[in-house]
Amino acid sequence: MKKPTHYIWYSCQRATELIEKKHITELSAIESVKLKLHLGICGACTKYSRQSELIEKLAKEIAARQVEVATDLLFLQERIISKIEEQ
Amino acid sequence: MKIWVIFGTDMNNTPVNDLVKSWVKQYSGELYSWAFYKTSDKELSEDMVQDTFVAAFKGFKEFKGESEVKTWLYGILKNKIADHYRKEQRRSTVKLDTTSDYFVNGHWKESEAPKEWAVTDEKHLLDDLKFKSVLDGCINKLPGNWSAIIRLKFIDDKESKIVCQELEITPTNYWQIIHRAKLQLRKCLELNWFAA
Repeated sequence: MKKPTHYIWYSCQRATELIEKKHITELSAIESVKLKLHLGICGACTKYSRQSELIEKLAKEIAARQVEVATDLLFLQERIISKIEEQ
Repeated sequence: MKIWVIFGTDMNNTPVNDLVKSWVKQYSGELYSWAFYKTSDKELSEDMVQDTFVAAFKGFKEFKGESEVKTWLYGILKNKIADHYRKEQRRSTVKLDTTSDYFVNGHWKESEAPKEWAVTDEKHLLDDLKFKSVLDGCINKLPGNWSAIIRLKFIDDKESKIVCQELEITPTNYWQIIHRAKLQLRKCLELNWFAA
C-alpha cells in the first residue's frame, strides 16, 4: 500500500533500487531529486550507496585482471582436432 | 604436434577436414580468450570453443565464403555463449523475491542495515588475494542467472543493452536483478570481509 508520503519520500527499498538503476542508466529529474532528498537524511542508504559503488569498482577491476587466464592452447587444439575426427 | 598430421592424413584425408583443422590452429586462441572474457570460466570456455569448431565442421556447407572465416566462427561462438546464459537464467527463476529478507515495509531491517566499512586503501584491497577469493566466493554464491548477469555487467559495463538482448530480459528486469544481487553481494562481503 502506498502512503501519501510516497510521492515525496522514497522508501529505503526504492532508494536502493534507484542507486542501482543509476549505475546502469540515467535517472529522471524527479527520481534524481527524490533520491538526493532520501540520501540527505538516511544514513543506512548513504552507506549502501558508497558500498555499492565500491563493489562496482573492485569487481570491475578484478574482472579486468582475470581476463588473462590462459589455457594450454596446444592441448586444447589437439582435443578439438580429435573431436573433429570423431565426427 | 606432427603426430596428428600423420594420423589425420591416414584416416580421412578430406580437404574440409584439413581446412577446419587449420582454422583450429589459427583461431582457437583468440576464440578462447573471447569466451573466457565473457564467462570467466576456463573449462566452459574450452568446451565452447571446441563445440564451435565441431559445429563449423558439421555445418561447413553453410559457410559459403561470403563472410570471413573468423567472423563466421565468432558468430557460432557468440550464439553458444548466449545459449549458455539463457539456460543459466531459466534454471533459477524460482528464487526471485529476496527483498523481503532485507526490508520491512520498505525500511531496512535492523539486522540488515548497512554498517560502516573500514576501507583505508582500495588499491591495496585489489592486490589482496584473500579479498579476491572472498569476492569471487560471494559472486559464486548468487543464484545462477544473477551471478551470470553480475559477471557480464562487471566484465563489460558499457554493454548493458547487449546484455539484456543476450539474456532476453527487459532493462527494468535487468536492474532489478542487479539490485537484488547487489543486496546479497553487499551483505556477503560485509559478513566475510569488512566485519570479520
